Amino acid sequence: MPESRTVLPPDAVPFDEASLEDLSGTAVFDATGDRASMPSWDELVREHGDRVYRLAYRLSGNAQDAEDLTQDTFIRVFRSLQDYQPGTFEGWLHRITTNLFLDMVRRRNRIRMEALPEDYDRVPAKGPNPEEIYHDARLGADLQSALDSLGPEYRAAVVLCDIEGLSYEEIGATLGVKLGTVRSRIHRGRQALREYLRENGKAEVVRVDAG
Amino acid sequence: MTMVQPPRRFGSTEHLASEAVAAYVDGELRMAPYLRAAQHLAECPECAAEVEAQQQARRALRAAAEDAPEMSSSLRGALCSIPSHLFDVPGADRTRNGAKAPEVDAAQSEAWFAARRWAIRRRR
Repeated sequence: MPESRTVLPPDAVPFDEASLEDLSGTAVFDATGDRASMPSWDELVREHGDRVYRLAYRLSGNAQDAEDLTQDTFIRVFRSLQDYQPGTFEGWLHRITTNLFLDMVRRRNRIRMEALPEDYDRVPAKGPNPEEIYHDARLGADLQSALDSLGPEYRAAVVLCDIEGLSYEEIGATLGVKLGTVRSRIHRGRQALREYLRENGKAEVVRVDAG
Repeated sequence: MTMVQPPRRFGSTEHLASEAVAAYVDGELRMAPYLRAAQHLAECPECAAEVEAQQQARRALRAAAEDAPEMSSSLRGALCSIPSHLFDVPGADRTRNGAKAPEVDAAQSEAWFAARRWAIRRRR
């Protein structure tokens, strides 16, 4: 049995030949560190594409930004794949997507603040129109717009926790913040989400049914 | 001989810290704080309501999360073509909004491709 050089995800079973056979895709590389086991690019896209897109969608709240974020994430992955060390491939993807999202928001805030009055109409024009926002947002338009009303840092924490099902520790690692910050962001994020829904007359939605 | 301090208990006015409420709901408290919190919640309707509020938001999000949006086939195609795109046309514009394409070290990416192809062939 090869020596374990990697930090396995908490739920991973220490691997032996038998459990290794159950692994597929990038998980094999995470478990073995064997570069030859890294799947082809197409396989990698097939394995992780939808998950990255979903996260990008929940964070950005619309299809166009989600597509841009997904594409930028995979470009980053492609360029850094040779330097990727075995760990948790999904965690790596979460981190890249979330950071690209936060960068995007910060960049836009900067543009908005620097924009001269005559340039002003350019800024909203880059955003999606309402139709695009709700077109295929099956999260429930109310819930997605409630998410969108949160500050990006709070939204990221809530999405990673409740949509992606990450632990607080994983969220802390993804966002680069301490556990106490994770806790308070999730708490305040959920609180703000409920207030938004209540103010918009959707409190029942939370109580009874999400869709 | 030192006396072991009895475990700290929440008084009826000593409410859960707001961060502890979220952590309680998500099962992110360690055993001792979890038990203390549970004991307090049994006696404090105010904190219990806080917990219920967090739980509602959590449930709504988790229930809705199961309906995941899927990416379009054109996006999938674009993702699959990233290697040829970055490899063949370094520096070419790739995004709609005109963001600069990342710089690619051609020699490095060539070497990487060679390694990849070899790895794929060997596996088959």
